[in-house]
Order: sequence, then C-alpha cells, then structure tokens
Amino acid sequence: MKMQGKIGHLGRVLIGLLGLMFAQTTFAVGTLSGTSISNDATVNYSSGGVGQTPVTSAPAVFVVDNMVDVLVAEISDSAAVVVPGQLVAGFVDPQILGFTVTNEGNTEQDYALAAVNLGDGANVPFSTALTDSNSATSTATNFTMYWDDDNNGAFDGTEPVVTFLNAMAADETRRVFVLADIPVGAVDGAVIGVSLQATTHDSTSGVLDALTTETVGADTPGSVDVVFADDFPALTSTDDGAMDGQASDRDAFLVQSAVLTIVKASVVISDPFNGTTNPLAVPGAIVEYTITVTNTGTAQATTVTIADDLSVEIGAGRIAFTSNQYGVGNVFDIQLDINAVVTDLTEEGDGDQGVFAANIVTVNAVTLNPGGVATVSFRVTIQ
Amino acid sequence: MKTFNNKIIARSLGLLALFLMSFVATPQETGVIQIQTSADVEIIETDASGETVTRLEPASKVVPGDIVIYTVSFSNTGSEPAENVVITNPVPRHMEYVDGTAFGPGADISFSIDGGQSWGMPEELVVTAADGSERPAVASDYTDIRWILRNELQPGAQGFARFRTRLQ
Repeated sequence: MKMQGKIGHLGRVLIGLLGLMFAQTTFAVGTLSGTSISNDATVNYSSGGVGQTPVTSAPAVFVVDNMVDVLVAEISDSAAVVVPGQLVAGFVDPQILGFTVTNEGNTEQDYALAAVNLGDGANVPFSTALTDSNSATSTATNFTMYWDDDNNGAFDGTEPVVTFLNAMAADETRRVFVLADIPVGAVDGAVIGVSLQATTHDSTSGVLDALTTETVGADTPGSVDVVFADDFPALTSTDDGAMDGQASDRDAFLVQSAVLTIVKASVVISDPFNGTTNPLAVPGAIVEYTITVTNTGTAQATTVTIADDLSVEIGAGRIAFTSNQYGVGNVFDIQLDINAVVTDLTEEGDGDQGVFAANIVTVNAVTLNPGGVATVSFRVTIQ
Repeated sequence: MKTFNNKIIARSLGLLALFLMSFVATPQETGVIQIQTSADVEIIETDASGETVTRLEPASKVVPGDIVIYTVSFSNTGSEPAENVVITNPVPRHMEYVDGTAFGPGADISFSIDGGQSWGMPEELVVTAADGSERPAVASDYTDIRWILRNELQPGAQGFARFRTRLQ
C-alpha cells in the first residue's frame, strides 16, 4: 500500500483558512490551466575587484495543469413545500429546489446534471435535519432542471430546461432549479429527499463534451494534465466521492396536504308533545343533523363540498327536509359554521353556498385551513 | 630500473597536472559563475516499512494551491574567487512566496516588494496603499528575493539558494 500526495493539498487547506480569517483576496479561481510559469535567477558578482557580466540561469518552466474542482450547494435552508399530485408544470416560485453549481477549478468546463431520489431514511441536512420518508408513493419522478439564465434567483417559468451546464468559466457560478412530479399518493408530511449531482466534462463545443478524466500516472511535462481536486459533499460522503470530478448536494420536497375527517351527529330539537324540553324522536319531532369536517392536515383545503344525501330516508317517507330553521326570523334553511364564524344559507340554488336539491343537502366552496373545523347543520322532521 | 620508471611517470603526471590546470585557467583568469534553476514539487510517500519519505521531483503536475520549490544552484568554475556574489530571483508571475522559506547557506537574504528597486528584511518592508495608508508587507507582497553571499565564492566551490512558492 503506497500513499502519495502533494503538500499542495495541505497548502490549499491553509489558504482556505487564511481566507476565512483575514477575508483577504480569496483563493477563488487560481491560475488558469495552460499558463506557463517561468523562473530564472541572476547572479551578479565581481572578480579581482572587477564587476563581471551578470549571469542568468536558463528558465525553469512548467505548465499549470487543469485542477478539476466543482461545488454544488443547495440554496435555501428549508424544504420546498409541495402538494400531492403536483406536476412540474404546476410549480411556482419558491416551491422549486434551488442549487448553485460553481466551477472552482482553473479551466472552463461543462457539467452534466442529474437529480436523483435519495431514498428511505436519508438525511437532508438543513439546520433542522429532515429525514427522507420515501416510499413507493413518495418518490418524485420526471425530474426537470432549469438554468436560472437571467440569474435573478427566482423561478420565473421562462428558464431553459437543461441537462448540462455548458462552458462554465473558472470561478463561474450558475443557479439550477429542480422540479419534479410529486405522486398523487404522497402523504401529508412526507419528505422527498433529492440530490443534485454535477459531473465534470470537457468544454470544447456547445454540447456536452467528453467526460473529463484524471490523468493517470506521470505528468506530461509541458502539457495540461487533469488533476481532480473536488471534496466530498459537505455533510454526506455517500452521494459522490472526493477527487472524482463530481459534486452534489441535497435538498428536499416536503409534502403538505389537507386531511379531512367527517363526522355526522343528530340531536332532537323539539317534538309536538314536549316542545323543546326533553324532546323525543317521535313522529313530528324536528331533528338537527350536524356534519363536522375537520382539516387535520398541514395544507389548506379549498373548494371543499360537503354533501348529505337524504334520498333514501326521504324516499322511504321516514323524514322530510325542514326549511326556515336558522337566522333572524328563521328564514334560512342550512347553517355553515367555519371556525365559529356562522353563515346562514338558503336551500335554493341562488348563489350562496347552500342548496337542497334532489333530496341532497350540499354546501359548496368551503375553504378550510389546517386545523380548521367546518360544521353544516340542517333540520328534518320525522314522518 | 623500476625506480627510474616510477620517477619518469611521476614527473610526467606532474607535468600533465600542470598542463591541465593551465588549460582550464588560461581562457579567463577570473571567477566564472555558472547558475541553474530548477522547479520541483515535494512528494510525500509512505514506504513499505510505513516510514514517511519526502523527496523532490521536477514540477510538472502543478495546480493552483500547490507548492513549488525553486532551487538555484551556482558554482564558481573559474580559477579566481568571485566576490560580492549576489543572487536575485524574481517571484514568478502567478506564484506567491511562502513566508519563511527562503534559504541559502552563508547568505544574507532580503526581499523586495517593488520589483527589485529596494530591498529589506521582512520586518522592514511596508506596503503603502493608494490612499497613503501603510501596512507591514506580507509574503505575498514580495516580488523578488535576494541572496548576498557573506564570503567569496572560491574556485570550484558551489552553493545553492532555495525558496518555496505557491501557485495562485
């Protein structure tokens, strides 16, 4: 087992530390590859008290090699919130996963891009770590990457779809947005971890050029050789290796959805014999049905329709819908209560949210925030 | 007979030696200094017994951040001593001097931050900014390195000067 390394790698670390400490000129790009570095020394002297012609050495020359170093960094320190069934076409800023890709080497390069699911149990290293809860129904598909070509940091929907970044100059940084199709079956709270990986390619044309490979064995003096100098990803060592010409970082989608529960209850309001005092469920008694819908999820539920089909009971002649039970003067027929805000509705299809038609009580267009409770009440008379 | 032959041989050798000396010295009765520069990188290896071995090999695979060691070798190939021997070496473009690494046996080492117009010890060098403010020079400010030999360089003597630089 033979280990070999150059002291220069330690040098880079030290420079990095110095940069942090003094914030001086940062060691950002480095001398471009192909640069010829020449050095010569001159000696002045005299002999026998007489100054002699200075002598200059032949120059010692070497050519700077290609230091391949790429960094991928996730931008926001939080997951992108999505809903089940969200498609790539349905994304709006800032739901996207944002990454920067930086050429930290000293040569223009192309970078192939790939976004992959992390899988069950993978850690997404935000400052508050999230754990990927991938399952068969929460693995994103159709990963689509966009280059933020106007560099405004926002997903405008006008960015070009890319599979690689072309001709990135030394020290250049580009922003990449990753979108994906979120499965319909993804459950509320699911974390879909995603790794964006960049792989270094040569840059000689407008398309993705050949994979850049490290020069094996001895250097070829006078020519530009390739040295991989990239590190492991910041907090994981599994997504890509060090010194492999690749870089990656992780981000995550957080699935939020509304989760609705529904409960129906009834209470006897009055009967013809006891009035409202201890009324009994006898023919002629008025019974109030209460349908309670609760959003136990983490996303707002919109356009919720709450319907109760009474056609069987009414058709059998057991109950009859009873109007004019709510509101001042008892002129309303259905009552909607959302988080203790009461709205009285009519049974006619007259534009409000309530309608009683075809023996079905319906309340439309209910919006329910996470934790919200909506109650629909109406009354029937026992036949 | 044998003794005689030996004397002859001894005389001949003496004459030959004298002849050779005069042959070398005749063209220039002065000190003649030859100088060479090499650029190397330090390779640290672990050998079979687990010992760490450091060796120099010619700089060829060099990327930003790497250290390059320059060695200036000089020798007096003349017949007379060379006096006031001063070696100067500009810090190559794209390289920066690594503090404290200039080395040269029997030499006083000084530095320049203005392309060799003025020289000083590290603590004497001050960088004046465009706004007139001053700060102590740091290694990356150095433009040139100079070795002044304290003694004459005798005929046949050789010496070296060495410093380290980091590729920017």
